[in-house]
Amino acid sequence: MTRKYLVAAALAFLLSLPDAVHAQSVDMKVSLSNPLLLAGQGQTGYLKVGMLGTGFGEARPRATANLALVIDRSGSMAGAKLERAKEAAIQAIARLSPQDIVSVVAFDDTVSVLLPATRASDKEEIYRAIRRLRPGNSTALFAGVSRGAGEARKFLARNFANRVILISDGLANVGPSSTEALASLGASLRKEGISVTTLGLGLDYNEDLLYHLAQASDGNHAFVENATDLARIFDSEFGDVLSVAATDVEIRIAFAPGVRPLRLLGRGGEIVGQTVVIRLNQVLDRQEKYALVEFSAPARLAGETVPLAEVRADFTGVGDGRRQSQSRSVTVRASAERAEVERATDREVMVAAVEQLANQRSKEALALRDRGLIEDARAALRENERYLSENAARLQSERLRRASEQNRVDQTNLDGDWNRTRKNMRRNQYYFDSQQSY
Amino acid sequence: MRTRALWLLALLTLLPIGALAVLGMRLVQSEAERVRRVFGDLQEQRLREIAERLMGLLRAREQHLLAHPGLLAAHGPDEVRDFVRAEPVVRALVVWDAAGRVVFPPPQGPRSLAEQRDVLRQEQALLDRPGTGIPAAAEEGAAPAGPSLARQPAETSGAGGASHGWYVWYHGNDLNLMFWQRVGGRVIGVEVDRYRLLSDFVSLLSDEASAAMTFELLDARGIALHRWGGDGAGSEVARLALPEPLSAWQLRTLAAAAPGDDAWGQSAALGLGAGLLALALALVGLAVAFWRSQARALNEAERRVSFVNQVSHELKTPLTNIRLYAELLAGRLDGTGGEAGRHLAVVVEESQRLGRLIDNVLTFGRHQRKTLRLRPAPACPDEVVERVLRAFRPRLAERGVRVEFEPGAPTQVLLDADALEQILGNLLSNLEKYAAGGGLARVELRREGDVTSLRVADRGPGVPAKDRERIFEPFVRLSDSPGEGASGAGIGLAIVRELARLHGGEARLLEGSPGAVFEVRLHTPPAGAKGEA
Repeated sequence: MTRKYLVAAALAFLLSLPDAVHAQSVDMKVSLSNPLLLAGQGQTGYLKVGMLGTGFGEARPRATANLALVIDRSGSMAGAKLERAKEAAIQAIARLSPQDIVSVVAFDDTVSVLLPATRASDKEEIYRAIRRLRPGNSTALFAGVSRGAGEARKFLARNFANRVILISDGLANVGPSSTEALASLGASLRKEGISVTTLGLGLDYNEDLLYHLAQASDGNHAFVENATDLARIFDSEFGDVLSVAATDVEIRIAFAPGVRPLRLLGRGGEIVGQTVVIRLNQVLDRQEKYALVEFSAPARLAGETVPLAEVRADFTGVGDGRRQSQSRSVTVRASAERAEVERATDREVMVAAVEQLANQRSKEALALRDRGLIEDARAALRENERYLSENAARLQSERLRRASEQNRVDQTNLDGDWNRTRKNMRRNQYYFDSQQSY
Repeated sequence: MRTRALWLLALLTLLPIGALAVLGMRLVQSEAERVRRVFGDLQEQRLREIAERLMGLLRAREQHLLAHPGLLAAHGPDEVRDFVRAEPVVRALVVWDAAGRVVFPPPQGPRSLAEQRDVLRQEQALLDRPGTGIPAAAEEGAAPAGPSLARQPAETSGAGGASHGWYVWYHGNDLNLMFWQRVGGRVIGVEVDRYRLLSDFVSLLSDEASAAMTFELLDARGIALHRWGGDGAGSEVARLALPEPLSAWQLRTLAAAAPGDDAWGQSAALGLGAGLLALALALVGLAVAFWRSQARALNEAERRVSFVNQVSHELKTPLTNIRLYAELLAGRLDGTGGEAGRHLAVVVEESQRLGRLIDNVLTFGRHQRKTLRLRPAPACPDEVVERVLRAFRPRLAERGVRVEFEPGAPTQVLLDADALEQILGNLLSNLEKYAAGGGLARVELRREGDVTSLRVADRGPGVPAKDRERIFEPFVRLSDSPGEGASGAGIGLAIVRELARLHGGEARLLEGSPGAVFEVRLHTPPAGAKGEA
């Protein structure tokens, strides 16, 4: 008897050992576009905070997926689109483990929950719910997402990969349909740790709506022109969900006195005085998500080493749900040697910065095209292409070369096939904004 | 006669159906109205319940926000910002100090872009509606500094005025909501994200599926924020504004086929129509049955009339012979017969009377069959009248009636003498029966132009004014005393009038004093002229 108790007590002790013995689930990498400053003059630079999941192991299982599939069943989805969506959803759900949670919500004029949030232990039931989907009328997108979030909320946990996956092919025409409304909803859901991934199907959906909803909630966004691609996209999205390494991530950058944060590139955040706060819903395994801050530093004397910023990240490990944090101090040294400073340029940070700046310009070009200024938009994209290809050569970056190529393709489709191009541009912009995994 | 009966029956059938149809429709309408009202009330009740649930959620949010005041009041801006970042329902937050000055977002210290935007929006709200807003943190009566902040007559709790409440303003497309609370000398205003609130409402409401009905939550512009139940088709049956602070939002119910609307009315009308149809069929059945029995009775009556005619006709020839030979015999005896002569006179008289009676029956029968025709021929009215009077005089004298005749139409005119004889005979028979007591029968003939008028006056009891027209109708008798022969059957005056009319004239009763005066006017063009009878 006593021995039995002793064994139990020992086991309990072992299980309750603090996680400190394990490695952290996320690696934070803080780097500057250049750790050296040219002495004697104020200058701008980029600070990049990269968050990378460190891989799962026995000690750190993957996050429980808490998914709400929100499927548009408006009239326009009838036929192949809805059938492909159903097949793709079923195929993707096959990858889930029994402890994962799934709900299925369909919407047209009104919303109905085909499958309330449930553990994925009985997949047949889930498949049946998905197969029950029949096309209806209009598109109550806001209500669909709200309801999906409501289902996800039933099992909401900070260390789960809580996600609403919205598949829509049409314009929201029942309920709030402004980007403001959906961005507001997305931002509110992000506060709870729910991300909304928006999959725009076909050529009739409102890409701005889906873009802003995904952005505000830190989800993913994709343009699925052909329903046949849905299976691939679903596979990627589920891959994304299943590789969540940490959730509820807050990066706080406190710049040293005199250093001024100017703006955030790509991922958004808040700048309050010297402090920048960036929140991510999740960090993925082997997939870097980063925040990039442009700052201006005051002039320094040569040889001076000064603190630039304190960076701290707080996040929840998905395995045990424990709050973890990492901190880094960043310093810069001023150098009078221009060549030395140039040599010290961090290629990786610069690639990210160029990528984000070019992305910014791509958005500006899109805005120009929206105002009907086709030639101005084309010129902006041409300039962007040049900027990207120059930097691709300078920084020897394949990514930048591909981005440059994309800008060239976009230029040629500004009038004829603008709808498709615009959806594609939005999708690519979001891809860069959020360092999407697919 | 038959067509009239037919019309009457049709009327008898159609009138009640029509009346019932009208009544039924009105009943259906008023019933529809009533059902609509009851239905509307029910739906409104249901909307009230829904509104209550929504407000319950809002109150839960209030409680949640009320639970955090210490943190907000005591700590610095970073903690406040953390609170805003973490609370899904919170869009922005403002803190005023006791003097009404904004202390968060820090007016001097750094603000984020979002905070600058929020402040602009909130200031816009206060500028839009000066004089309304959130009470200053200072006690009542203290002059608030900064923007003019007045008391919000919302929820109150505890002494010393409101400690928390809602402030609503309109900016952009819809309402903006701020929940304020007074904590430790400060006022904290939490701007609630209306879209998040709506999203929570949606999550709360979606289960209320109903096939026949659509529910909608409408924004300040009347545009559907959320729809559940049906697909939005149908007409509105109930509407309800949410309580404060969401009074700009409304709930409404749409019903595709609500009781009381057109579709429902149609089905009710259909039921009514079926009932009416059944009733109509029953009535028509009854009418047909009635018509057939009536027709049988009419046929029977016609057969009888025809029988009477036939018999009368058969009687006429022997009677004529009896009369002829009785008169011949009386002529031979010529007052010398004594007893037998008197008997013979009675025979003659009675056969004359029977002749008149049979004439009347035959005339009436012909009239009924519409085969009564006059045969005008040149005759002298005075002579015709004199002939009739000669036949009547003995009988009347026997009853103590003195006959005065004032002739006035001595010329030959076109006249159906038989008709005039029959007319006068009937009038005198009546006089003999009813006015013999007056002791006088005054007969006048007058001719004015083409009209010969015959007047027969008596000194009898007369005819009451109300019966003056009625007595000309067939089978109408004023006294029930058993009379004699056909005159007793009440067809005498009817025949008088009919004959007069056929003769282009009229028969009527004039007022006499005392007694009755019958006047018969006949159209009698002079003989030789082509006249119409």
